[in-house]
Amino acid sequence: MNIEARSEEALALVNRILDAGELGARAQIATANASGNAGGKADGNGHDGIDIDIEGGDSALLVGRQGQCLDALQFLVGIIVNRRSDSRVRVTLDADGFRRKHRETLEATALDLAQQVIEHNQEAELEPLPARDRLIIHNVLKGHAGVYTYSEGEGEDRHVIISPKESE
Amino acid sequence: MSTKAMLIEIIKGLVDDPGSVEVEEAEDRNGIVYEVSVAEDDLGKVIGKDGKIANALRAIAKSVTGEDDNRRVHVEIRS
Repeated sequence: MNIEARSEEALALVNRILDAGELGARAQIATANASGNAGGKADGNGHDGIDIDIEGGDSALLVGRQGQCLDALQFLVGIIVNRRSDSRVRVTLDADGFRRKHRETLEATALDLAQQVIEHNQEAELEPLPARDRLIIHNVLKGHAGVYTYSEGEGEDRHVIISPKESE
Repeated sequence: MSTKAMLIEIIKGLVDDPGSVEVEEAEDRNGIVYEVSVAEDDLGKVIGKDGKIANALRAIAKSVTGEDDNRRVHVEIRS
């Protein structure tokens, strides 16, 4: 089954779950503008990805404390969608703009810090973040004229360093 | 809002025998209990490795029910 068909299948599943819960919320395939990696294109791991946005009604309830409910639903939808298939697709769910806002905050922080790094010509160390958050930082500063990024530390302590590029 | 119907819909997607999926909702003064029953062969599919799937179901039930911290939301699984 191609990615379009599997996207439709995942979308139908999420909408069935929302309907069953009588949440008054609707799911739709995320547009490229709403999500960092949308439109069913392959992600960096070589997996095809499906991004679904849930909006309206009680969609905020699906976020839960620090996104716990959303992570749980995303995990289960991913299992269901991949159950009967040989090829794995990554499913990312957003609800009430939670992941989008979170990404925008991280990107703004990264860009601010990059500016400081350039001004003081001194590297900046971010707090430890989970892998997907570190990736957001790396991506937003990729190709930046004045700084480069790398990660340091292991496990729970792994964090991003923003470092000034050598001036030429 | 129907947490119960939502759990049923999710669990039906996880198992091989959706016809055997039942969820009973019971309420006592401590909170709400969702008693999930599935076919015996499907137990592993709703519990998952290290209980990861069961915990995900619990996280969803807890959040969607909208219960505050003083009341508990339980999801119990059996065949």
